[in-house]
Amino acid sequence: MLEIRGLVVMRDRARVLTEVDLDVGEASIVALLGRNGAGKSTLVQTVAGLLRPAAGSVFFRGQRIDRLPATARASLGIGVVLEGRQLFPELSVEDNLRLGAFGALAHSKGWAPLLGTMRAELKERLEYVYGLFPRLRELARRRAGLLSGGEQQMVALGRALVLRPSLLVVDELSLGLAPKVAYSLAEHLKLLAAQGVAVLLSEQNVGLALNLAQHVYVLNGGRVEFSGPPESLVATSDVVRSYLGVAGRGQS
Amino acid sequence: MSVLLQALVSGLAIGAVFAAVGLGFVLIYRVTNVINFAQGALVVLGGMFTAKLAASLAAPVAATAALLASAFAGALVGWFSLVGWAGHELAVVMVTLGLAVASEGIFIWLWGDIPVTYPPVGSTALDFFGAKVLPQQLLVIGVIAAVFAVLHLFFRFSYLGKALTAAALNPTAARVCGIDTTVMGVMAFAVSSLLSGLAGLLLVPLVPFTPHVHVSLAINGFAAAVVGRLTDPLRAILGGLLLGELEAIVASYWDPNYQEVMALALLVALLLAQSARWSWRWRRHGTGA
Repeated sequence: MLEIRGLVVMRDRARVLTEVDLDVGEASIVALLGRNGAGKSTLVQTVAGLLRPAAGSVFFRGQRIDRLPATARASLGIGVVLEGRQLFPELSVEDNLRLGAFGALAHSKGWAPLLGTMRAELKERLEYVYGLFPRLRELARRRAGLLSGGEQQMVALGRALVLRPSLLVVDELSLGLAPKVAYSLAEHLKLLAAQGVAVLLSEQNVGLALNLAQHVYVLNGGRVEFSGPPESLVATSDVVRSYLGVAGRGQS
Repeated sequence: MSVLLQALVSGLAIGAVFAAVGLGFVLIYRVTNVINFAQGALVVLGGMFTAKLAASLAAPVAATAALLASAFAGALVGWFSLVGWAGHELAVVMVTLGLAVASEGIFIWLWGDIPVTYPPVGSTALDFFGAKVLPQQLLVIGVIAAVFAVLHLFFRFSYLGKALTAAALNPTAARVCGIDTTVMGVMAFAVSSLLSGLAGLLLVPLVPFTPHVHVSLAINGFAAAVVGRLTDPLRAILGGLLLGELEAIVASYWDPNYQEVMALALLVALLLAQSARWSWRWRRHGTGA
């Protein structure tokens, strides 16, 4: 589904990612762990098309995408939830959700129908999201900026899912959320993976990520320090301790 | 009483023009963070081009051609600014200022330095409670009000309008939704220029244009936009209307020579009020935000 090879990303002339290789298979959940500044968000933004790599390549379903703009990646079926939710705060929840499919609809329908409301075209997509998050249907008319953190994260996930993506990239799912809310959203990711959506999750909450993912990458200083199933990460507790700043499961 | 009424109606007509130009500033600033000082030049383009074409073509055909020319010129300015100078908003502001100055030379070269106009609709003034009202003034007010209503519907209901708002509210999030923020920016330039061109072609039968009037139009429009803090469309419209009324009243009761100064006076007053508020907040909360 997603293949990253030899990725190098520079920010202000400093290397933020160095020779990163990463794979996300069909319908699997892959977690990206690391401390603050390890390069997790940079990697997410590079996959989303917000940053251009200095070297290396990114393939999505066999197509090379690292030179494509973010807008084109959205219409290919890459849904992105950025760190800090990044909603359109003054618009309603439903408008936020509807705009998630803008790229895909502009691509397939052309520009003229965009002058209409596109209600008919978006009905099925919205129903899909409301099916996953029934709470969003109740909040549909509320302004997105006025919701709680958990509700906003639900809107951010919903906005990415309106696209009906085959790959969902989530940056910091649990940041700023109560543990109960974070774990409930994590259950939704499991459900999505079961439905065939591949998930790349960058996460600071190690416990949540290990519970969720089939494969884990640990980034440190922009390099991949560990790649493997969660069980083997827990077994190598020194990796957990040195790079994640927490004790391994065996020692906790 | 009739003097006041007459001043209010002509103030409303000129204020509608300032409101249209001010709204143009706001639309562009919201989506691109750029202040387009070429906005006044686009009003002149709409007005002078229609006047020149109307000499040989039917007025509606001339107006349509001028509108298309304004929108195209605006989109070109937008594309040149946003693609050529991406990420350098301050440089882009200077580019638009340069284009505004250059436009004066281009218009003089194309159409000369003599004021141009074309006949207004209806030649006889209507009597409105003792005040003389020109049908062209009513046309200016009516058409601009109708265009504002259409724009409101566009932003309120259409998918594209929402996408433009989204690009203004959070460009990064808009991009991951597949909204091309550069295209949205160029579109904002085109819509604003269409508004400016329309304002110009409606105004020129009332106030003949020379290529030099772009400065005063841009300053008045900018002052209106500043009333809306460059981001609030409704306040910018109200600011334009207020400025129009203020200038008309000053011209009627005091001296027409002072009306031009009103926009600058309003700008200075608003900036002083803003800085006073900032320093008050700074002292009180330790933050100017």
